[in-house]
Amino acid sequence: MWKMCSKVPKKFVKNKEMKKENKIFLLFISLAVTMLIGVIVQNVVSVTKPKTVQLQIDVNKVKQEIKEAGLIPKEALHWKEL
Amino acid sequence: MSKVVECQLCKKKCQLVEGQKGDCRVRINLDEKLQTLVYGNPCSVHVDPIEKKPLFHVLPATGAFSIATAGCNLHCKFCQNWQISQRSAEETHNYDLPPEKVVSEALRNGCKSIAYTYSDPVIFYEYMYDTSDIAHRKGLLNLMITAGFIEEKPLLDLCPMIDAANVDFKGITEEYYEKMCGAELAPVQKAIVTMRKQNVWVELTNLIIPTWNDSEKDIQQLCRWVVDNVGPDVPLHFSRFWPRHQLKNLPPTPVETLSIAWEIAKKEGLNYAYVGNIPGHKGNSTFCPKDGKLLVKRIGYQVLENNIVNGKCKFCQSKIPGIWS
Repeated sequence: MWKMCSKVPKKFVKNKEMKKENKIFLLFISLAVTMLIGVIVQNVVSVTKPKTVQLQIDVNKVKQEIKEAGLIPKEALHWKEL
Repeated sequence: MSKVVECQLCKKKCQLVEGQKGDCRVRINLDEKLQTLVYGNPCSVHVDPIEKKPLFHVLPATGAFSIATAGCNLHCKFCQNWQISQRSAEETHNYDLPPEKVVSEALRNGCKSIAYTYSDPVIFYEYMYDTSDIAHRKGLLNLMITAGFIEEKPLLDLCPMIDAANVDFKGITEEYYEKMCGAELAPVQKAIVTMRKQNVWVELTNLIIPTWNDSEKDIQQLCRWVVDNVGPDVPLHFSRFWPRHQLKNLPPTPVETLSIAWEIAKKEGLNYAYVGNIPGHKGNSTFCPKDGKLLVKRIGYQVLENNIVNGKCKFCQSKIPGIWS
């Protein structure tokens, strides 16, 4: 066992002449990883941010539309304040 | 920060900030109170034969003064009245018709009842409630034509005012209610049972839509639920679908499908099964469950013959359930 381990070369010899196909492959891999990180970040943000959206309602405009339509609001039955 | 109010009329329980409308489009949080926009403002007013509702066991061949407002708490893809039900009250042409005037107009037109119909009357609850109260005092019946998607408490409060209801029992699966109507099945089933327990005369309508709820299994299951939960004397109307609203791609329901449904209902033990939207079909008429004789002959909404006397079959004297006088 010891003998087998000792046979592992101590230095990693880098091939400086990287093939063109390998370069494209590496580029593709890095792009895919970047996109994956982007998706993960978006998902995490969507889970952690508040679920409700603050509605922006122009109450005066709503009241004006109701008035123009000739409707007279009347207090409803069966509701509660939160 | 303005107060948020919660509508407790239906299972949706819309939570609304100031100026926001509910899913029904006609109930709104204004001045920190839930308010209705359609009280006394119907957009549809007609005198209909009661058979059109359909209510076949309530005062046959009489007129029902029928009113509806804009809005609905369901969003059925097949809605036949989507021009009013899927609109807000600001978008429809409305009449000024307070409850007292509805009742006086009903009487002036010789009607025996007032029908709250076309869109779902649940969303004009207060208007229906007050009108019903006055109508009762003037000797008129109140008819509620509804999908039955209403909470228990408001329904219990309303039941003493309502004499008869036709509940649109649209399908027998939750999936159908969710996909086709934007609602839930369980509250509808609960409402049907509650109405029966509260002595409201109930008839049910099932609109059969090709490819969606027309399987024999679904029809059988629906009939069984009716027999097991509200009894065999509750009339069940199978209605023919016509392509409307968001389902124009489908064909009308074949007559054969409705005939099969009619047979299944009888086989499952229902005493009063009907076929609607096909004038001249044998299923338009009422037959005595005891002796099989023709009791009320109808073609479409027209009553041609009535053999029910004092609520009994003229031939065998067996009692026919319903409101006959």
